[in-house]
Amino acid sequence: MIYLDNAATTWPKPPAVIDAAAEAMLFSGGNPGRGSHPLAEAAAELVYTCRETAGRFFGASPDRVVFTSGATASLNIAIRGLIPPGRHILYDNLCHNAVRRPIIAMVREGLAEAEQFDASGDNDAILASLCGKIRPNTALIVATHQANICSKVLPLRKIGALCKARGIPFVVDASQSAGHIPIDLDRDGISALAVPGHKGLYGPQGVGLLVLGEGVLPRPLLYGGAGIRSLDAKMPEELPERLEAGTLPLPAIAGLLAGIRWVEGQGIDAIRSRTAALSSSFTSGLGPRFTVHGPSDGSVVSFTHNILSPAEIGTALAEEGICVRTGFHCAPDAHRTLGTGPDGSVRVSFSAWNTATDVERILNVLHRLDEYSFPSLDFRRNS
Amino acid sequence: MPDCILTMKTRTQAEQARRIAGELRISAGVVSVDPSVTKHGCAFGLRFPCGASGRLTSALAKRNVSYGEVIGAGR
Repeated sequence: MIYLDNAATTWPKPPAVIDAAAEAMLFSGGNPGRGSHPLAEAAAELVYTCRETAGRFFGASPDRVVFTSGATASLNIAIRGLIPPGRHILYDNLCHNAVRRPIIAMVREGLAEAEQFDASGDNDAILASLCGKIRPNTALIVATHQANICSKVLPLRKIGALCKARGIPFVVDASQSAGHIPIDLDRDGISALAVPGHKGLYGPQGVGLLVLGEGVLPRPLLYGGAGIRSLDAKMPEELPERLEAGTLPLPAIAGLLAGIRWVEGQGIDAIRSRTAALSSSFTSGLGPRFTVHGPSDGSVVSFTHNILSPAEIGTALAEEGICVRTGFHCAPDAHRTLGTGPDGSVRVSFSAWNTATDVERILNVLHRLDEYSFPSLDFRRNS
Repeated sequence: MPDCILTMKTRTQAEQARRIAGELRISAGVVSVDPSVTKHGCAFGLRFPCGASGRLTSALAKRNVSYGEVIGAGR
C-alpha cells in the first residue's frame, strides 16, 4: 500500500501516537475536568499538558487552546462566534467548504454579508485584492493558510498585519499548514487559528484545536456541561471551558500530544523539505499529457490528464494499492479559481513517511495509464 | 503546617496554578471545592500549605492567572 492522501488525513500515525491513545484509555480513563478522583486527575493533567504543548507550538498561552472535534468545528466557532450580526466577512477563493459553508449559511440566514478576495496571484496581488474589498463594516477576515488542492500559501503575516492595523479579527484555516509551516499567533497577527489534529500534527481523528489570540472571546456554538459553575444557566465566560461543552476526547488528545511532540522531534522544516522534494520529483516526472494545477512546491500536488478523468485515474491507482484523492476535495471555489475542469483533479499529498520509491511507483502506474489512454482516445473519437 | 485552598474559576486555571506552585517547589494538588463556597456549583481549587500563600498568589498574579479567595482550613 502506498498512501498519498495525507492532505485528507496523515497515515500511518507514529507509533508513539497509537501508544499514547491506548495508554490514556488504560491508565487515565477518567473524565477530564469532571471531579478530582485519581483517574479524573490523571486525565485532566494529560489534557493540560496537551494545551501547554500546543500553546507553545502556536505561540499562545494554554488557556487560549480550545479542543474541538476538528478544524471544521473550530472554523464554525470562530466564524459564527466572532462576527456581530449584519456585518461583512471577507474570505479567500481558495477556501475549503469548512470556511465557505458556514459563511454562506450566515448570509442566507441574514446574519452577515460576505465577499471573496482573490488569492490566486502573488502576495502583492492578494493583498491588493483584499485591501480593495475591505468595507467600513468588514468585521472578519478569513484566510486559508495553505490551499488543500495545491501548495499555494497565503502571506499570513502580511494579512495579519493588515487586519491588526484595521482592527479586524483575523481567522486562519491552518488545516493544511499546521505542522508543515511554522505559525505564531502573535507574530502572524492571528485572532483565531483552526487546526485539525489528524493531518500535519499526526494525531488521531476526532480532535482539533481552536487557538485564540489574547482578548478574543467567541460566542459558544455548543452549550452544555463544562465541569464548572454548574448552577449557572449560561456558559462560563472563561476560556477554554466556555467553548468546550461536553466530554473531551481524551484518547485523541493524548494522541495529539504525542503527535505534536513527534513533529517537534522531526522538525517542521525537515518535514517540509522532505515533502517538497517528493512533490518536485513527482511533478517533474509527469508526462506532457498531464497538467499540474497551482503551485506544487509543498506537500500537495493536483493534476489532470488530457484524456483520462480524475476518477478513472484514482480507480486505476487504487487497484494498484496507491491511495490518492480525486474530485473536488470539498473545495469547489479553489477548483474554480485554479481552473481544474469539470471533474476536479487528482490530488497527491505527501507526508514525512513517504519516500522516493513511492514517487517512482505512482509515476510508473501513471505512465502506463497514459500509454493505454491513446487507444481509448481513438476509440472515443471513432465511436 | 495547615493546608489552604485557593479557589479557581476553571479546571484549566487550577492546573496552571498547580504547575506554577511546582516551579516554586510548593507542594500542591487540585481539589474539588464545595459548591456552597462558590455559590455557582462545581468548582476547583488548589490545596497547598497555608504558609506559602503569599508566594503563590503573587506568582499567579505575575503570570496573569486569575484566582478567587484563599480558604483557610484544610478539607
